[in-house]
Amino acid sequence: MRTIAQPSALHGVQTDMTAAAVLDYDAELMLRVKEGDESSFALLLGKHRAPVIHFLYRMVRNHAIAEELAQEVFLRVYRSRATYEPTAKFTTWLFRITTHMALNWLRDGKNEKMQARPDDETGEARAHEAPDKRPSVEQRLLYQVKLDEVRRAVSSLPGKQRAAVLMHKYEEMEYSQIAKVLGCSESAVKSLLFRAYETLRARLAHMV
Amino acid sequence: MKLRFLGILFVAAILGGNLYAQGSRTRRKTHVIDRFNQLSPEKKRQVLKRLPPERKRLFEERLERYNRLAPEDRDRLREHYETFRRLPPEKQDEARRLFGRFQDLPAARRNPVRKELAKLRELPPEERQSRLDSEEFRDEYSAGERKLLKDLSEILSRQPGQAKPPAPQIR
Amino acid sequence: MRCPIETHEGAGLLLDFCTRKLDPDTAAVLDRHMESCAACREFVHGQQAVWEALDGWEAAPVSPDFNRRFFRRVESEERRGRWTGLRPILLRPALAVAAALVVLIAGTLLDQPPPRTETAIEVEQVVTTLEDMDMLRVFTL
Repeated sequence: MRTIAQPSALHGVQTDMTAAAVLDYDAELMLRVKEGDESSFALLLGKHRAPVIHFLYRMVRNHAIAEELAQEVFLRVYRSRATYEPTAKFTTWLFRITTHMALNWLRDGKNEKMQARPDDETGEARAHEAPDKRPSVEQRLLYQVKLDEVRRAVSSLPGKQRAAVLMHKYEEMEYSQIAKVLGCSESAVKSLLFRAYETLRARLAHMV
Repeated sequence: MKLRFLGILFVAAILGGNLYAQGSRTRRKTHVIDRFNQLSPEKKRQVLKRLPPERKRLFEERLERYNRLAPEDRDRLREHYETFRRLPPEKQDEARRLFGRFQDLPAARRNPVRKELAKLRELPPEERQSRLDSEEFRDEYSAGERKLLKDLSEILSRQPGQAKPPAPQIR
Repeated sequence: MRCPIETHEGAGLLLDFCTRKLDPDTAAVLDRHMESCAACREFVHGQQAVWEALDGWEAAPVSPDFNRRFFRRVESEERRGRWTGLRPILLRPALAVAAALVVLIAGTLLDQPPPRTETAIEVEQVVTTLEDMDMLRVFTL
């Protein structure tokens, strides 16, 4: 069993750089990658690829593009290994890169985006079927319509609001962490979320 | 002039690459753990020196347990692994997460839960569900154990059409 | 109590209430407030509906070859890095032939240790396979 040392108050400033690594196992793994232990990188990849890809997928609504962007995110993390310093929680840093990548894609990828249509997501409805409880065609269609409405409502949000909602809802991040990812204050995040949920409530509240 | 030298390099790389690929294909027929077992002690040391100490210790313990299995059990385990490997990555991750929760159970509870899981895995979906809904099941297991058993049995149960593996050999 | 819906900070409290992040005391105060405040009740009801609607949006599973593709990219990047470093040397004719021979020999010597990144993948593959097999041994044997 790994024992994690608690940072001592006596060490004060000296522990600033390492505190994140002491408290954050991912940062510790990244420090090992920095020392040349590549197997630790594979561990980080295994642990974080799904949340990163899912976040990107909900941002860009195209699975192939989400995976491509995720590859780029992890490449950036890997390339930064030599200069890595655990000044923040690893996931904060990871999502900062991820969000930056997604927002850039949304902002700059207009031409390609026209060609990269949202996925045909009808398969998702099938994923919900238990083999012994197969829904009827009507149920499936209804579910599909609702899901489509959800996706459209989220896609209608401005990029930063969308990112904030996805981190808040699906990554269950605290306001303070979302603020660090987006590089703004906590109250700015609350305001972003307030406006985003206001839009979503107007579009989706009738669904229940 | 430069082009000719690059040409030589290109042809050599293709030839070398093809031979290397043939070698890799031959090597990949063997199971990855057996391939590791076949390495010389020196090469094993080289491969393992990249692992952090704690992970290396756990790896060695697991390898020893694997190597102690009867050949028949090892074959069955490989078959189970092949089935597991074909699950979607999310299901695989979920199984690993649930395994962590299983290991957090008190030692005395692990064996009954494990045996129950073995029973549940063998049942067809309807019977499994009625077992999970039964009063007896509710009485025997805590809420956490029931959830763990339900989730694990769903992921690890044999799919329809999948052959039942032979009974384990006891040595 | 001032109606929380009037400020973003207060609305944050209502959001936390919907996601059950509030401590029991604050939640109880909000509960009491909502008994008499239709606006807050409506807010919470709408927010819960949004929450449930978002729950239904599951992302597709990660492609099984995601890691393989990633490590291949890392490998090709590292190889490109090595190539860039070697370019001034390779432009000299005699050394180019020698380098070609080195490539040929390296390709044919199957027992040579694989490149650094491939070793890392191999280690990870062996370790994770064994971890998974150990888990399956507990559950299936």
